[in-house]
Amino acid sequence: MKEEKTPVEAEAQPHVATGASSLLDIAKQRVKQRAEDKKVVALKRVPSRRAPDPDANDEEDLGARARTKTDIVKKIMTLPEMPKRKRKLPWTQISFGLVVVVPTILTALYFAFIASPQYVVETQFSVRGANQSSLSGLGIPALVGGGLQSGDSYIVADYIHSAQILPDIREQTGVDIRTVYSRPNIDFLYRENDTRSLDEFRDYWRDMVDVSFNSTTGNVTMRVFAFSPTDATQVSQSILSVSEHLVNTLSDKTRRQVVDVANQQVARSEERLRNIRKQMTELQINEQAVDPATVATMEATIISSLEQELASLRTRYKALVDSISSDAPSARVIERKISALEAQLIEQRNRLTGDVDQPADGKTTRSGTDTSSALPQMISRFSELGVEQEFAVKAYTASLAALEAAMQEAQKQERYFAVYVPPREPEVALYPFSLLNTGIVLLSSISLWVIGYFVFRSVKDHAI
Amino acid sequence: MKVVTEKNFAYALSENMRIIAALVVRSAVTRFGESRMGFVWVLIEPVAYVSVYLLIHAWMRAGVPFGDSALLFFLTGIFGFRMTRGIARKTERAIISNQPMLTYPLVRPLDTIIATFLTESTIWLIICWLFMGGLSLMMDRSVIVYPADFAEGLLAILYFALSFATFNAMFSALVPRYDTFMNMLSMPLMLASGVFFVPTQLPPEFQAILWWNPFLHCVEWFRTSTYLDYNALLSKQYLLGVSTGLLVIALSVERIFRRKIVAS
Repeated sequence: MKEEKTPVEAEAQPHVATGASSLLDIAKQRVKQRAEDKKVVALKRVPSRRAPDPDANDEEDLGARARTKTDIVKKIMTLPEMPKRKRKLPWTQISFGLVVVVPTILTALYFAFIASPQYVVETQFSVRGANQSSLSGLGIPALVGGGLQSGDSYIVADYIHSAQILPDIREQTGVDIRTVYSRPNIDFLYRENDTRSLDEFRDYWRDMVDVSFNSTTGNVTMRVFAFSPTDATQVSQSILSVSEHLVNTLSDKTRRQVVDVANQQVARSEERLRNIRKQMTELQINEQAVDPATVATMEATIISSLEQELASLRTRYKALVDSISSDAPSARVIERKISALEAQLIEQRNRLTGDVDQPADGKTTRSGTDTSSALPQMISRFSELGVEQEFAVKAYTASLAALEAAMQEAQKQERYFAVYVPPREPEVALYPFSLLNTGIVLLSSISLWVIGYFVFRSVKDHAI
Repeated sequence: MKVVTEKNFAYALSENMRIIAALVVRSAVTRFGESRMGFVWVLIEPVAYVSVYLLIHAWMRAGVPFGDSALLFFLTGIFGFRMTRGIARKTERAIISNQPMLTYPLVRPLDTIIATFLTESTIWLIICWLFMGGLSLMMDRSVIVYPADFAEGLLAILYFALSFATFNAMFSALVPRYDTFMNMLSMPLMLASGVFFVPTQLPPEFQAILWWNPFLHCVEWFRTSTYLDYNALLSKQYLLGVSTGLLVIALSVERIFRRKIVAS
């Protein structure tokens, strides 16, 4: 039908366009006309194709038409069976493929082609002190709660996994860990963003650095994963140097604290002693006496010589009065002498006993000042200061000894960061374990699928 | 056509739900028996355990194994262990205690297990919540410091308990004397699960042996969420792997020996 239609129209059209003069124009017209005809044909064909389609003999429709012709009984019999069998069988396999095959193949592909090799550097170190107890070797302290050294090793092990170590490494060694783990040759699963904050980076860091502490020996084993041998060694080195710095800082701090307390004690007792010495000197300058005892004996000798003189004068006076009258001038001289001596004696006694009612002339005071105290008071002050000085000296020597002991103790508490397996540049990449990991993925996906399948089946069991 | 299969599965699912719900109601009603003392006893049991341990602890004048509170340490240990064991213990007897129910063709052995598991885990979660809440009131600080970890740990414990119980239920139905054997293991398991000590403080040789005990991982997982800096001997992968393995074996066994299991 279509074949017949097109020529008819094609012939009908040219009649309209025959008004052209030259042959060339006619040819052009024909070409145009033909092109338009083709368009028309094409346009006509499009709807004409759609219209007959329902009646066209397609395979599907043939089946449909064939079925419509069959009787109703047959339709009912065949309908539920067909889709059931079609859908049920693939679902098991499809789910198996989706849950087991696809993940396993993806993992295998990942490990075969994409995964970048991981180099591991193992380092062992311990934090040791001078007073390592011999029991710790037997593991007995572990049962009771661990020794002191183990505590220090714990500190390092915890520190390596803390968020503090990342900024510390950057500050102390100048290595930014994030750039090590964000190199472009690392595969997309493990590559980090070097602009990521350190807090977020910490989880990744914990994955890449393994630290385990052996409570029996007190040693720490550290494993660092990285994506090139030099990187792995460099990261291990920087961890070690930062940890050593930490141990040294802590050790320094304890030592300084212990010694500081002793030092303060020494300074305090020294100050006290100096103070007392100063008071002593002041007193000695004030009293113009180095030793109160000699002052006292001096006073005593003065008194006794005065008394002696007085006694001899009195005997002379008595003898004189016996021979001549008491009004004689020589007797008067002696009498005056005696009264002067007596006055002097009283004054001396007063000085010795501490009576303050001295004569106001002040010529007899030793120091030349009126405020000077009496001898007993001076002696008591001297002896008081002496006792105090004695105490201060003792305290000072004791504190010096304590300082010595504290220094020794600090020496004992010194911690050494001992690395006995230094980081060694790895020669081959040991990780990742591609076969093992693929196997694990395979096993776990199979078990997941089995569980899912059985659960599904057991639910289906209830459809009775 | 498509509708037919979907409706079938949906119907099966709804039937299953209905059966499990009915079984849950049944087990919840029969769980504590006639008396009210049943529920009280459930609450008293952990208290009794904890107080006995605290008494022994005080008598021995031992230091707190970890942290500042012996009560918290023992309570976390006991919950980590007792919860797992308690749920598993009741659940693995589900088939036997629901034997009359199994005469209905609609009720499958797995349904009874799931129903008992749901009941038991609800009970234990309530108890756990009560004790943890009480403890945090008593100590006047929050006991659970990592809530996400805590939820994770609880889910892992429940998962392990379910797998372990299903496995035991299948094998106790198939293997004679399996039940008594498991009961005998109960006490040593508790001692080896780190309820009273911190496993990482043991020598490495012991740790290597204890590490294989999945209950230990349950306890350690529970404790990780209650201490800020607990140094745990914990491998989450191991616990989940063991649970999954047990569940797979149990489900396969159930599928293969179904008749025998129902008959026993």
